[in-house]
Amino acid sequence: MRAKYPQFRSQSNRGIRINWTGELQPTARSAIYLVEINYTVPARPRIRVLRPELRRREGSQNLPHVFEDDLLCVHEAQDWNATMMIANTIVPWISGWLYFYEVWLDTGYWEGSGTHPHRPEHQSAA
Amino acid sequence: MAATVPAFFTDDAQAQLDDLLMLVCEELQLAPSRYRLAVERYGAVSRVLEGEGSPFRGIPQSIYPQGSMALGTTVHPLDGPHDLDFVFELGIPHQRIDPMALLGTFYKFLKGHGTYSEMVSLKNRCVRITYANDFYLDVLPSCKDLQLGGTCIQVPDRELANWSPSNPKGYVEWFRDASTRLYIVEKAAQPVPPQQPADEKLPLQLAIQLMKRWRDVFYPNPKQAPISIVLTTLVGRCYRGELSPSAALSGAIARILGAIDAADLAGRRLVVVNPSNPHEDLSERWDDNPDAYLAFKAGMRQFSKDWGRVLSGGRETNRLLEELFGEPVMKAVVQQAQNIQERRRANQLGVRSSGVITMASGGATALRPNTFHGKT
Repeated sequence: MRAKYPQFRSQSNRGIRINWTGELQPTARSAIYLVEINYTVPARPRIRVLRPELRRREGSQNLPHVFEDDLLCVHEAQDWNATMMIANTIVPWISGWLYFYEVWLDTGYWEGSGTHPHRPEHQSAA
Repeated sequence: MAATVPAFFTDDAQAQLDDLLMLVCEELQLAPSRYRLAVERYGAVSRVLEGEGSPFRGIPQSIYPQGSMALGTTVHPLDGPHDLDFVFELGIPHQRIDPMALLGTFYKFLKGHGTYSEMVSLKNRCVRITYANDFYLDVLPSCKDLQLGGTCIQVPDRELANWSPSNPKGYVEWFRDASTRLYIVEKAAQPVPPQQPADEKLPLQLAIQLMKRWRDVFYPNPKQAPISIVLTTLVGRCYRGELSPSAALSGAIARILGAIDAADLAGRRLVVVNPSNPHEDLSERWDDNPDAYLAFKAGMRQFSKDWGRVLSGGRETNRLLEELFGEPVMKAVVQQAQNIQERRRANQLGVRSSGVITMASGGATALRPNTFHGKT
C-alpha cells in the first residue's frame, strides 16, 4: 500500500484489523479527500470519507452508491475477495467513486454505472 | 456524441480544463447534422437562383458562407435558432446595378417562389430564409467591386439606400492566417504534438466561441453587447499561437484589456479596424452609443477577474464556468464523465499515487473493472 500510495498511514491490530488513512484526489481539478479504509480480514473493507464532508445535492436525501452511514460502496460482492490487494483494487475504485460523485454533485447524474440504475440518484444523463 | 474529442485525462489540470472547454464549444456550435443540412439548403437556394425563371439566370454567380459559419465559430444563441450568413455574389460590377433594385428583385423573386414564399423576410442588407426549428439563412445579394478589386464586393444597404463595401472572403483569409500561422510555429516547438485529430477546432476558434458565448450570457441587453465581428477581430488580433483554448482565451483577455488601457491613456476609445478593409471601423457604433463602450470595458474587466478564478482551479470551477458560459458547461461535464466511463469499460484507465485517474500507463495502477453498488 505505502509503495503505491506513500501518503497512506496504517494502524494495525496484530495483522487482523488494519486501518489506513490517506488523501486521494480523483482528478487534477478535484478536491483532495481524506479517506479511511478499515479492513478486518477477510471482510469487505469499510470505506469512509473523513473530509471534506460528503454533500447531498439540493433536494436530494441520498448519496449515490453508499451503505448506511455513508460508507462508500465501490464494488459488488463478486468483484472483490480477500486474496486481492487493496492497493490494486479498492483504492483505484475509491478514486473512481469520488470522481463520479463530483460529477453527480455538479450535474445530478451518476455516470459511473453500477447497480440499481433506476434509483434517481443513480441515473445517467444518457 | 463527442467522439472526435479525445478524453484528455491526464494529471494536468489545464489539459483537463481544455478538454472540458472543447466539449463546451461542441455544445455551442452548429451540430454536424445541422451543418450538413445548412449546406444542402444553400445549395438548393443556389440552384433556384441559377434556374429557369430566375432574374439572375445567365449571370455569373456564386453563394458562399460568410461570418461564423465560414470561420468555424458558430455559437448557439440563448434563444432561437442559429443565424447563418451567406453571400450571393454576382460577377458583375456594382456600378452597373442599382443597389435597392438588386435587393428588391432578389427578395421579390424568392417571395414569389413556391418553396420560399412563406419563409422569406426582408432585412436591412439581406433576405432571411427561416427554416423552422433549424436555423435562419441570411443571404446578402452582392456585386463585385472592380475598383477595390480582389475579393471585394458591394452590398445593398437599405438604411444607407446605397451600396456598402464588404470583403467576407478577405476576412476569412485573414482569419485563417491569424488562426494558423503562429499556432504552427508554437506547435512545431513542442517536443510532443498535442493529441488532436487534424479536423479538430483550432484554439483561436474555440477562444472566439467562448468569448461570444460569454458575451451572450453577460449582457442581458443586446444593445450593450459588443457585436460578434468586433469580438472575433479583437480575439484574432490578440492571438499569439497559444496551443490550447484556455491559453488563447487568457492571452486574448489580457491583450484586449491592455489595448483598452492604452486607448484610455490616450483619451480615445478602442478602434477595431476590419482586417480585410483598413478603411472600415467595425466598432463605429461605439461612437453613437458610448454607454455600450463603457459596458464593454466593464465587461472585459469582470471577465478577466472571473476567468482568473477559473484558472486558479479547485472544486468550484465548474460552477464558475457555468456562470460564465451557461448550461452547456454541465452538459460538457456529463459528456466528459461519459467519455471517462467509456475508457473505464475498455480498461484503458489507471490511477496515480495521488489518486488521480489518468490513461493507463507504467506509472499508474490499473483501474480494474468494478460495479458501484450500495444499499438496496
